[in-house]
Amino acid sequence: MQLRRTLTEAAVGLGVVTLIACAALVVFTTMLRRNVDDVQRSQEMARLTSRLAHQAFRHEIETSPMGRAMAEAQGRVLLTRATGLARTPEERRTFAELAPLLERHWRAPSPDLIVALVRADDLFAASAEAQSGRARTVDMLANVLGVAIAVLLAASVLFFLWIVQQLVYRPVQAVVESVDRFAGGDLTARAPVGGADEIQRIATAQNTMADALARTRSDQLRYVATVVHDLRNPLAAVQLAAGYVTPERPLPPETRLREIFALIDRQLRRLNSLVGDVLNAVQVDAGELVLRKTVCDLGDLAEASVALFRSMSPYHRFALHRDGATQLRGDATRLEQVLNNLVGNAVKYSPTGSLVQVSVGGENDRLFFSVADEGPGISPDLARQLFHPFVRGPTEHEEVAGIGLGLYVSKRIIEAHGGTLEAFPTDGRGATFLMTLPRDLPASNVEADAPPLASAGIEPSSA
Amino acid sequence: MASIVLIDDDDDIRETMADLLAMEGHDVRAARNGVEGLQALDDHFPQLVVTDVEMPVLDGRAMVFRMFVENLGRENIPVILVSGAADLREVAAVLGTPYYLAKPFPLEALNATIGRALTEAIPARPPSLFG
Repeated sequence: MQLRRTLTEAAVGLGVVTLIACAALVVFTTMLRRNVDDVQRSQEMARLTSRLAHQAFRHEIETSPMGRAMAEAQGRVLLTRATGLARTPEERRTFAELAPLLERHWRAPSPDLIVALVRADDLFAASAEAQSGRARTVDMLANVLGVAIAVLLAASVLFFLWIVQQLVYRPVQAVVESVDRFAGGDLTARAPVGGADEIQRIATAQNTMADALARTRSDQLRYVATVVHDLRNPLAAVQLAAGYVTPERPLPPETRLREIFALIDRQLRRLNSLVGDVLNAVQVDAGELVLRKTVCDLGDLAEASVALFRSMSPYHRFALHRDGATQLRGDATRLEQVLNNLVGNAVKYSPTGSLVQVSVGGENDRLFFSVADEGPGISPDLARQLFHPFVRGPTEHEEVAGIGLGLYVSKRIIEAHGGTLEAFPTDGRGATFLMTLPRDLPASNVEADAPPLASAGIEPSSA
Repeated sequence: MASIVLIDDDDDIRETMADLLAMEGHDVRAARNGVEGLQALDDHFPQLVVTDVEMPVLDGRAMVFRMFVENLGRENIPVILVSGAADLREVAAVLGTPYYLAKPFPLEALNATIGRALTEAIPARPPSLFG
């Protein structure tokens, strides 16, 4: 039910009831007024008729011609006034009959006149009485109708208040209660969707928000659980290594001790790298990714990255292809982190002895960088989720270090540079990642200022 | 002391644990995932299985279930779960084993749990399979 429509309908209904009440009041007061007028007129006619009788009698008993003339004159005046008051056909007929009788009477007194006058008087008195009775009836009807209208108005107002309570007050109260419960920590609290459409929309919006917050919270818990799980493995390795040195046993030989300390060093590095990944992801999530732009060369960064992994994984073959000018303004440290992540993934997810192909180039105002490996590839399903936190590709046989945050962070870094990072699903035939970057960094997300490319002596055209 | 099959996908953890347990006098066979673990069980039929939970190819849960479903006598070997998973206790309940150890743990804790498992020798009994 729409609140606006319902309230409009209720207001129109109340208005109509009020209008009807006013019209009824006007009708009844007019009727009463007319009745009272009629009663007064009938009474006046009765009075005039009785005075006319009096003058007729006086004319009859008056001895002087002067007195009779006076009585006749007064009788004529009274007859004229009374005739003027006549409204109904019956009244007019009564006076029409009286007039010739009076004329005759004034010439020669006749007892018929007195009888007619008495009859007329009775008629008017009865008429006044009837009018008065009718006035009382109208008055009573008006009273009854007035009470009825008052009751109807009161009922309408109560109904209106009930509708407001059912449609607005209660649902709003329920939404407020659910918000309070949610704020108090009950993440399952949801507002009942009821009442007017507008309130239902508020409840639905509140529930959608609550769902999103609850989901975010469960995501965070999952995030923490995943992080904890991944941090525990290197911790376990280090703690186990400590088990070599116990009071009960002699120290292991030196070669073994060296191996143990290399293990501890390796696992601590892994721990540190995981903590760094988490911190990076937290910064990216919190919107605290700030780029320090400098003039750098993507080709040089790619060469450094390939050199790094060539030394770390001597059993992989690497091919680097450079094409065009690759200078740009960007955050060199962050870009290096992305390149290392992409090349490192190619190394981690492909068998030893396979080829990792890196291409880097520039054309006009865009730069590109791609890495192709000969690993298991990426299924279309995985390609859709690959850049979400904690999503990792399937590994065939060996433990692949990492927590599933690298690509997530890399994509955010490239997007902050105004570029794109995509994975191409090539099931079973190796994976390819393509990154594109604008030569000049967009103005947002930039901390320190570096001179624009032109003033730094770099031509943003391909060589 | 005892023959143990040890399964963990993390090279450093697996090798260190295997080495330390061998120094304690156990006969240890190491495997990198559930499939290799089942293979080692077939080859050696140990007194005890120590396994990680999250592993590639075949994880610890699936491996313990396979020990039952295939019904080759491996269902009577006690199982110790070692994992950094936050829900390790629930995983142990699902698999019906009383022995589990949250990573990281000191060597003494591992020795104590192995000692208890060898003495009691209560095999895992997944409630979903044994009602």
